Amino acid sequence: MELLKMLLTIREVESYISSHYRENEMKTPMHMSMGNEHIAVGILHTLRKRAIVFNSYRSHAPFLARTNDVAGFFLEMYGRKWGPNSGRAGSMHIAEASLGHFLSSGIVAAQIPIAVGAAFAEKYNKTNRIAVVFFGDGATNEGVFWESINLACLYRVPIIFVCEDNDLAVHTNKALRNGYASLLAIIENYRMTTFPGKSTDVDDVVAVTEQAIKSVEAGVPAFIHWKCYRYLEHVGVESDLGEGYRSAEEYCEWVMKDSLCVRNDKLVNAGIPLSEIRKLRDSVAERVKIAAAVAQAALPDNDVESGVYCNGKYF
Amino acid sequence: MENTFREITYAEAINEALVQEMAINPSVFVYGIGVPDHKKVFGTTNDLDLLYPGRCFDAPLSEAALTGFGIGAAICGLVPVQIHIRMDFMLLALNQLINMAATHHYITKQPVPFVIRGIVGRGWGQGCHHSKSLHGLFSGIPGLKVGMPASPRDAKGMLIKAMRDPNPTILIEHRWLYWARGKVPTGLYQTPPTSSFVRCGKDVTVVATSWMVVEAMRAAEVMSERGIEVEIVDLRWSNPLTEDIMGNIIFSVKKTQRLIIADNDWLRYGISAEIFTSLVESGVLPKTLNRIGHRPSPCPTARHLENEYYPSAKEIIRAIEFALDLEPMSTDDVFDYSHENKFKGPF
Repeated sequence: MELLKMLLTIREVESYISSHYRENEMKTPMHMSMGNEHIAVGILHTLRKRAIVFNSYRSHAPFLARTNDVAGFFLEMYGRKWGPNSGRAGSMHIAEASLGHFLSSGIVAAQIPIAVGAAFAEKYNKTNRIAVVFFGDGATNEGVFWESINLACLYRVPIIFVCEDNDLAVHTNKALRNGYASLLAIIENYRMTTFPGKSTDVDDVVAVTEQAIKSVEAGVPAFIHWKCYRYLEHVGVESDLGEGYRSAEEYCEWVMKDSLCVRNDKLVNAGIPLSEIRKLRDSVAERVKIAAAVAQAALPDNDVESGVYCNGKYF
Repeated sequence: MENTFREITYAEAINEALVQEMAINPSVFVYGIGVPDHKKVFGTTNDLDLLYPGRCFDAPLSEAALTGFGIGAAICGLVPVQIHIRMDFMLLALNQLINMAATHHYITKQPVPFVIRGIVGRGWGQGCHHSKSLHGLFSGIPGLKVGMPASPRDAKGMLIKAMRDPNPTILIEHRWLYWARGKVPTGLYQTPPTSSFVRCGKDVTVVATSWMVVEAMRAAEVMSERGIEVEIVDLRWSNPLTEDIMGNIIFSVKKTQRLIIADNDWLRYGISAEIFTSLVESGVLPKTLNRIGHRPSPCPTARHLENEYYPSAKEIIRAIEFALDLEPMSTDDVFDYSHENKFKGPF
């Protein structure tokens, strides 16, 4: 039920965003996680407080899955002073270190070496924490991606790389980007354990994560490569199926196995009463509604220059 | 422990800062391409790998990832000291430095106590890929700190300050300063975030950065024989350009009314323009202004072209003569520092 709760939370948050975005109050570009929430949820549920999380601008699922801070999330989307980033970050850069989420990067792949350095620090300080870095297949074309996996394998740092592969970099399919057939065939040559997958069943993600953790604990970084599908446009809350770079058949294929439906069905088949599931869904919806309302009523931050340097003053 | 002073070289001072600070702060580690090899970055990383196993290590040719690595380690509580044997190589890491390091605290409130040391190459045909300083570029970025130690004392004190600063700091060390000897305290100390008076005088102010401080000192010696007393301000820190840094310059220019800015960089769109503009904005307008910097070209390799490209004490002397309306002297006998004639101090 916990896994369903987090899947529901993220989906409900994004539904709220979809419905209310046109009010123009959340003035931040939204790169929606709809369609691949199960990856972040499965991994971060398994790791719990051991995970320190790094991701791209497609931040909603990993941020919520790690922090569960729906209230803080909306404060940040509405650009309020008491958001975790005081409104300076918005959707693309949201982070909350006190709750284990360290960085969302607006630059593709830039978060990857930072996660490697963080993993190094956790090993150096013997904290037992594990860095988890989410990125898409677009990031695997960046040079710094290859530099980073090399460093991680050379220095043997406790890190789990998570490639959420939806075949696209914005609108460009990998057929137009890659000079090779299989990413994993190359990755397998590095001193890492690779874990391919494509299931939308969050239990499968959990199982793989448990294996990945064992690998990391043995001093070998893990690379999870999960095929997935992005329901909406690259940025924004609409569907862009009409644009033609993806097929309606593909869309239907993935929606039919939506991770929430899969989870829902699994729990019902396991004997959980529908009424309990409905109760959970209602409470999640209520929580989201309240968090958004509170955020809209909150104060904005008026100090542009504070925080440019740490300690508030120069030097 | 009381500090006593003794003469050591700029390179030895940097090494001492690392050896002493790493002893008291277990979070400091030093890394980069070739950092612990037998050359020990011109002696600045001597003994670190032996004294502190696992805390001074080598790296592959991956400047961008290594810089991101440093950011990540810093936000998790370590103090990484990354070394680039040439400032030019830092350009490979610009995305990490400018997009990520400079913005991180602003958007996440996580401190980034990251020190990046870069060395400015010069002489013997270093050429256009091994000669840049880039302090103008980095000084324009809010969120980064930039320092250019010119003396051995500052080389040690500014590095210690940077290792204790919760902000990403780029320290720019000029290769030709490495042999310079100067008085350095034996213990740990931090250089304050101010500019400093290298020489006091009443006739003309020279604000200099990095290697140009040495050229300014040379010019001042020559002019002193003609009865002209030159005041030299070593800028030291260029980002953020605070009131404490500008204060000394304002004080000096109010006194002398004549300003020469000798910057170890290309002239345009850099530090000298910023200093002069900040000065005027504070309400101080000198009677004369001369700006001295590198010729507006990539750095050439042939020796005679190098000599044209780089300004020296001679250009500063001409600028002083212009400022004070003096007869130009013959500078044929003015000693020129070079790859063969190194500056050995004293500071």
